[in-house]
Amino acid sequence: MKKMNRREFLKKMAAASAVTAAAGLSPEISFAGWSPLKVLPGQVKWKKTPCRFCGVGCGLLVGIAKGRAVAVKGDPASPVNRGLCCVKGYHSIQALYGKDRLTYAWVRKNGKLVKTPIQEALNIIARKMQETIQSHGKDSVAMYGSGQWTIPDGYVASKFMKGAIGTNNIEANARLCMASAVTGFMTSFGADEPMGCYEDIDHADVFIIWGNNMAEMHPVLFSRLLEKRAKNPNVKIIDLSTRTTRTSIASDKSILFKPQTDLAIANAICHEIVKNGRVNSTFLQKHCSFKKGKTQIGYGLEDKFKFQDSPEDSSFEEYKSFLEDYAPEKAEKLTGVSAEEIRFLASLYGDPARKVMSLWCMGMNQHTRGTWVNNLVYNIHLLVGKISTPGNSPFSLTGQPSACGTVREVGTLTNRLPHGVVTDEGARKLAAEIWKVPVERIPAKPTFHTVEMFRALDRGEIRFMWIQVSNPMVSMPNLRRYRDGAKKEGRFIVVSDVYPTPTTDIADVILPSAMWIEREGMFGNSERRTQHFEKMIDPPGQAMSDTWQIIEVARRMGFKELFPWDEKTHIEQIWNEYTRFHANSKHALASYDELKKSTGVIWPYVNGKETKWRYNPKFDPAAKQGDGFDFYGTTNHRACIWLRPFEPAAESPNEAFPFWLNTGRVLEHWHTGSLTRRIPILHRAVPKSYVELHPQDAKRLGIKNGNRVKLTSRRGSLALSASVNKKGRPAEGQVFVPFFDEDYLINELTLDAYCPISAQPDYKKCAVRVESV
Amino acid sequence: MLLSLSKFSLVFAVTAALGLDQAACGLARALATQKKPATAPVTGRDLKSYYSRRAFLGAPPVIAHEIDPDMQSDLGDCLVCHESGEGDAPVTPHPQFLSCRQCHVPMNQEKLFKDIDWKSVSPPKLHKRMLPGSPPPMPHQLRGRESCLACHDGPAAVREIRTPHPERTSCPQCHVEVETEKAWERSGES
Ligand code: SF4
Repeated sequence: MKKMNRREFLKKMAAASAVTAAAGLSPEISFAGWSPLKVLPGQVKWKKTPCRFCGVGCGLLVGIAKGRAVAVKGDPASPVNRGLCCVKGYHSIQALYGKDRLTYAWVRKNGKLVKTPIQEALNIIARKMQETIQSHGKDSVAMYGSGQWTIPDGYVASKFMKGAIGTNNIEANARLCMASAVTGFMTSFGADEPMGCYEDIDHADVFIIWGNNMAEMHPVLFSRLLEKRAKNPNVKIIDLSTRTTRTSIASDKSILFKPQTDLAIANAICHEIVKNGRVNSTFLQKHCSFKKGKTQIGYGLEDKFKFQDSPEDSSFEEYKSFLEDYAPEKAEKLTGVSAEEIRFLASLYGDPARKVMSLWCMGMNQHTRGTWVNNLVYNIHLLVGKISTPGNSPFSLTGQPSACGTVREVGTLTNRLPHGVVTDEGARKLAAEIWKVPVERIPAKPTFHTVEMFRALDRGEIRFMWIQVSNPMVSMPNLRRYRDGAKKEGRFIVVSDVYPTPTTDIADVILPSAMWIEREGMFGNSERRTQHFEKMIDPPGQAMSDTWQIIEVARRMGFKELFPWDEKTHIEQIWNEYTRFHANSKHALASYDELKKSTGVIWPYVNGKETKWRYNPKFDPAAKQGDGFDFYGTTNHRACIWLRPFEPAAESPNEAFPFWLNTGRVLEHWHTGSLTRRIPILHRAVPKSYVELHPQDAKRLGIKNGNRVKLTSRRGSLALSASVNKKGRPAEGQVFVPFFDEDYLINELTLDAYCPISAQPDYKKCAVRVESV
Repeated sequence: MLLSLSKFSLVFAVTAALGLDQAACGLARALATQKKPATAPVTGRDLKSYYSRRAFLGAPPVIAHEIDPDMQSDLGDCLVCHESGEGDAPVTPHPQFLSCRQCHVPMNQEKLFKDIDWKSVSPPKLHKRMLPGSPPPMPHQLRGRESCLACHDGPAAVREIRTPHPERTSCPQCHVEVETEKAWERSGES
C-alpha cells in the first residue's frame, strides 16, 4: 500500500515537472561526448580482465582499438557478474586517460621535484636504499603496498624485502581493510578466506548484512541479492547497520544499532539460539570446540603497543553462562536493538528450513574488536551448523580487487610469507628453498604493522619507505601525525603511482606506474577467484609496472640471481614460482595457461576442479571423507566457538565531543578518489565530500542542506557542507563523512586506535563536535 | 509491458508539442532552476542527445534530469516512469535490473576534476545494409538491451532509429548482431 502511494506521488511529481518543462525550461545536459576514433564498432577487439576497482571482482570485456581502450562491457561468461557491471566498472578505462597521468619520474633536488629519466630515478632509489641499510640497518627501510597490487607485484615485493634484503618491513593498505577478517578466520578456522563462494547467493534465502552498505560498496553482488529476491518472494534481506543507507531501504527490514554493539547483538542471537534449543547438537559435538582469550585488551593508541592473546580451552557449559549477560532484554539497552528484533534475527538463523548467508565488510573489520566480532558471527553459523554448504555461508567480503589474491595469499605483511608466518621455521625453510636464499636471511620476528610502521617513520626508526598503489597521505587515520612524520628531515619517501596525489606531494622520488591493463597481472577477489589479465595497451611515456620497478631496483642492489626473469615472460615465470608455495590440496592454484583461458578460477583448484565449498568433503578434496565436515585448518580439525565479550570503543562521545564520526566510501568513488575523480561521470555525480547528519540533529543545530558545518575531534577540525537525507542518514548523534576527497581530509580527525589482534584501525568510530559555521 | 499506444500518443503529443525532449521524471522544483530556450517541436530523442549522455557506445547513460537525491530514489522509483515511458521518459531496455543507480548516476556539476584525453569508436553509420533493401544488422550488443522497442519505438524512441514496423515483434529474426567485420575464412587443414 505504502509502495503504491509512493508510486502515485512520483507520477504526480513527474507530471508536474512535465508542466514546468512545458513552459520552456527543459534541461539540456550535454554530458560527455568523445573524440571519435575512425574505427567501426565491429573492428574493436574485446579482451577479458577483472575490474580494477572493488573486491567483487567483476569480469569485464575491454574494447581495444588503435592501441587504446575504448569501451567496456560486462563479461557474460564471468560467473561473478554475468554481464552486469556498476558505473565504476563501465567507466574504469577512462581512469587511464587523465591528462595529468604521471609519465616521467620526478626526483626532489634542493627541495623541488625535477623531471628525471626513469633509469636514473631507479639508480637513486637503489643507492638510497643501500645507504640507509648501511647506516641504519635493514629494518630502517620499508615497503608499503596495496590490495590493488597485482599478485606478481606483491610476490616480487615480498621476495625483495624478506628474501633479498632480509627485513620483515613490508606491509600493505589491506591491513587497514582486511586484517580483522584474516585474524577472524585464523582464530575460528585456522585458515584464511571464506569457505563458500558467490554461488551461495543462488542457494540462500536469508541474507543478513552486518554493517555494510552493500548496495553502494558491492553493487553487483547486491544486485544478485535483489534478483534472487525478485524470483523468490520468500527471500529476506535484513540490514543491520548504524546508518540508514540505500541498502537499508532496499532491505525487507532495517535494524539500527549503536556503534560498537554488534558484539553484543551477535552474542544475544546466540543466547536465543541456545535458549530455544535451536543448536545443531550433532554438528556442535562433532565439529566445534570452545575457547576464550584475554579481555580488556586495549586499543593500541600508545606507540610500541604490544598484545599477545593467550587462548584457553572452554566448554559449552561455560559458554552458556557467558551468554547469560546477553539475554535480549539486557542487550536491548546496550545495543538499541529491541529484544523482539534480536529474537527475530535468532529465529532466522535458527530456522532449520532456511539457508542463511551473513555478509559483512568494513563495519566489522574496521573495529577495535574486529577479530572478536568476526569470531562472534562465525559462532552463530557454527551453533546452527549453517556453514560450508551451498547457501549456508558466513561471507566476509573484501574491499579491494586483490586484497585476497595479493596481500592475504601472497602474504605481503610483516608477519607473513607466501605460505605461512615468519615465526614458523617450516614456513621460513620453504620460502628459503623456493627463493634459493639462506634461511637465516628471512627474519623470524615480525617488525611493524601498518600503523606502527608509520609511527616508526615518525620516530625515525624507519628512514626509507617505498609506497606503491596506495595513497596513505589521504587514508591513514590520525593523518596529521603521519604526514608530519613522513616529512621530517632524514626520511626518504619513494612513491609509485599513476597520478599526482597528496602522497606524491611528500615524495622524494615519484615513479610513474603502468596501470592495470597496461601490463600483465592477476587479481584475487573475495570468493578465492584468481583472475588473469593480459597487457592490452602500452603505458604512457616511461611508465613501468610496479613489478618491474621492484625488479629493476633489486637488480641494481645486486640481487639479480633472485630476479632473473625476462621482461616478456616474467609474469608467467613469477606465477610458476609463486604457485610452488601453494602446491597442496588446501590451496592449489590454477596454472598460468588455465588462468589465461578462463574468467577466473576458484582455489583450491585440484585435479582440474574448483573447490566451491571448503571443509565439506562433498566439495573439498582436502577434507577427510566421512560424514560431516573437516575443519582442517586447526590442529584438532574443529572450528572454534569463541567467548568474546562486548567492550566499548576506544573513544566514545562525551559532552565536549558529543557525536560519533563514521567514515566510508560512496558508490561512485574508489577509495581516495585518485582514479575515479578523473572519470567524468563519477566526478560529476559526486564532485566533493560532505557531512551527513540526521534531520533532527540538523534542525536542532539550525543546519540546512548545503550549509557549512565544522567538525572537530581531539585531533583536528574540518569544515564541509551538510547533507541531510540524501545518500545516507546517520542515526541521531552520529555524522558520516566519505573519505575520497583529498580537499577534505577527514582522516585528520579520525583516531588511530586498532584491534590489538589484527592491528586494523577503526575508521568508523571516534568522537567529534558539530558546529554550524 | 508498454502502455496502450493511444494513451501513450496522447501524453506524447502534448509534451512533444511543447518542446520536451527527454525524460521528465525528476521532481519539479529541481527543473525549475534550469533555464534553456525551448527547442523546436521534436518527436522523441535524437541520436545526438542520445550519444551526448554516454561516454562510449554501450555505456550506461547519465541521468539527464534532476532527481531527488534522497537514498530512496532508486529501486523501482525510476521504473515508475522508465518502465513504460510515463511522461515521455525513455523506456529502459532492461527493467529486470532494480538497483538503477548502480549504473546510472546524476550529474551534479559540469566541471571536471582534471581534463581527460578520451577517445572512443565513432557511432555506427545508419542504415548500413548488406544488400539493397535488406534488413540492417544491429551495430550494438543485445545484452542489457533485450527489449528492442524500448529505444526503437514509442514516444521516447530515438528519432533516427525508430522502426517503421513496430508491429513485427521478433526483431532478431531479421536483424542480427555484428560480432566482427571480418569475413569468414576456412581455417583449413595444415
Ligand atoms: S561491483 Fe566492483 S568489481 Fe564490479 S564493476 Fe563495480 S567496482 Fe568493478
